[in-house]
Amino acid sequence: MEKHGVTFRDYACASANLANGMPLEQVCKVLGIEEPVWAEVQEYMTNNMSKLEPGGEEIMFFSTVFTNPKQGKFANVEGAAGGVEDVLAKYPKWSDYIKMRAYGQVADEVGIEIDFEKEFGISTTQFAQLGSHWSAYYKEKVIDVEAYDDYAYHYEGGPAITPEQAERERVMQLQTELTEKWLTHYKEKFKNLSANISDDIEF
Amino acid sequence: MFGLFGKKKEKDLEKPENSEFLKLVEKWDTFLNKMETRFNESLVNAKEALLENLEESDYDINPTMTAWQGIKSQLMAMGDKVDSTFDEKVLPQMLKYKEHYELLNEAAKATHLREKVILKKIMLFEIEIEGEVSQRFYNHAIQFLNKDFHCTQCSAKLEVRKDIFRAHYVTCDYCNTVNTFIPNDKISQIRWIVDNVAKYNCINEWKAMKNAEEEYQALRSWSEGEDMSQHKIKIKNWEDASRTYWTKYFTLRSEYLPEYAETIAHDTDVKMKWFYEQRKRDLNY
Repeated sequence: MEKHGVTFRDYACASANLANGMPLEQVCKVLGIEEPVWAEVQEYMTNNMSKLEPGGEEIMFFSTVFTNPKQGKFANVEGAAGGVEDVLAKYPKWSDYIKMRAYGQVADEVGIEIDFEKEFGISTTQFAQLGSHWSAYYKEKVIDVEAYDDYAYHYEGGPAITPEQAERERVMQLQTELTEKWLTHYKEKFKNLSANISDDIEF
Repeated sequence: MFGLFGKKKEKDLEKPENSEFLKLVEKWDTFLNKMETRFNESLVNAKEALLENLEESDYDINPTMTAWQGIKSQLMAMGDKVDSTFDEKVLPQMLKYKEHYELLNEAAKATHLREKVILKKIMLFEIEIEGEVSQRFYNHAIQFLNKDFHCTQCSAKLEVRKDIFRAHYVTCDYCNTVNTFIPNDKISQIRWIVDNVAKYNCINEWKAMKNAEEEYQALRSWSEGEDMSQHKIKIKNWEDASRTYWTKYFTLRSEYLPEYAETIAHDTDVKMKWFYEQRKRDLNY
């Protein structure tokens, strides 16, 4: 798929860099087009994306480019968004990401907007990069490890579990603990905004 | 043995209800009524607050939409509260007087309020409030496109198109200079809210589609060898209502965004795909 000489891959990289805060002017300069041409390209790609093969190469590229926007024409551009390693250097812990996610969830519930740049010093693209990184971690440690009879293991002296399964259990428990910790933290922080509209009605 | 059970059941039916149990039922009904009343009042208040918010923010639509998501969460939570109140408070008390299976009607009251009142009204309200907020935003933002724009070379008045909400080139009729028209943020945002306006303007077709779906879903599952004429009639009604809704929705959207005019039939077919998959699963055709 191409429009005005801009390929779908160029468009995907440009979108990822825009989402990461690169000014439109600079994006257009990298692509070698003017703003009205970019607007037409953007409209064309948005309208035609549904025609791409689901799970095909182009769609897969679009779904992953936001985790590493420094590709293609944007590979050596100063100011282009870096890869996940940049944001991991700043926020290396899983707890950091779970904290941000809990903040987003509570903010949605109470109806306030959050500014990731202001609150955490990262862009929404970098937040998405962290999300992809930790999803891959969870997949490796939990989803891809064979499940076992949890009840039998804990309460009935069931068969021993492998070191990978023990790690699976630890990671799952850690996720629960961290999510609860940060949800409690933000619910407390915004309790004045989250008074339930039916708190005074009791059975 | 069966005879004995039968007699016991008849006896149970004749037995007057325990007055303490009746008090609990009354208390439960009062609770449900209060929740429903509060829910309905909250919808009215939400609408007023959101429309005021839009105006006070000088038509910055994002905080208004974010606030709506917050209100929606709270409204949805009322449905959860109805369920949890039954499970944690009402049921344990009622079990002192009745068996679990005898309390299905009381549990059904909670399900009815959550699914048939709260969730159903939220779905409809969402279309109405997002549509109304978006329509007001549109009326405000479109004024910026009605302003005069002038050629950078000769200052002649430029004819800027009223149906393109993005940057585009405008050639001056007088001196042929190609000008770049870059819309302000509000004009650019129109592109993203016209879907809500289109949806709002075919709300009656949406209701007809939902009603047809409910009428079909209300039929019990069809099994091999049974007469399925009613299912065929109801699912055809649902199909027709869905196609009418999606066609009208995409047609209205294309009135704001003409680039979609050519794809109305295609876009409608894409939306109908889900319906045909369900029909295949349910009725095998």
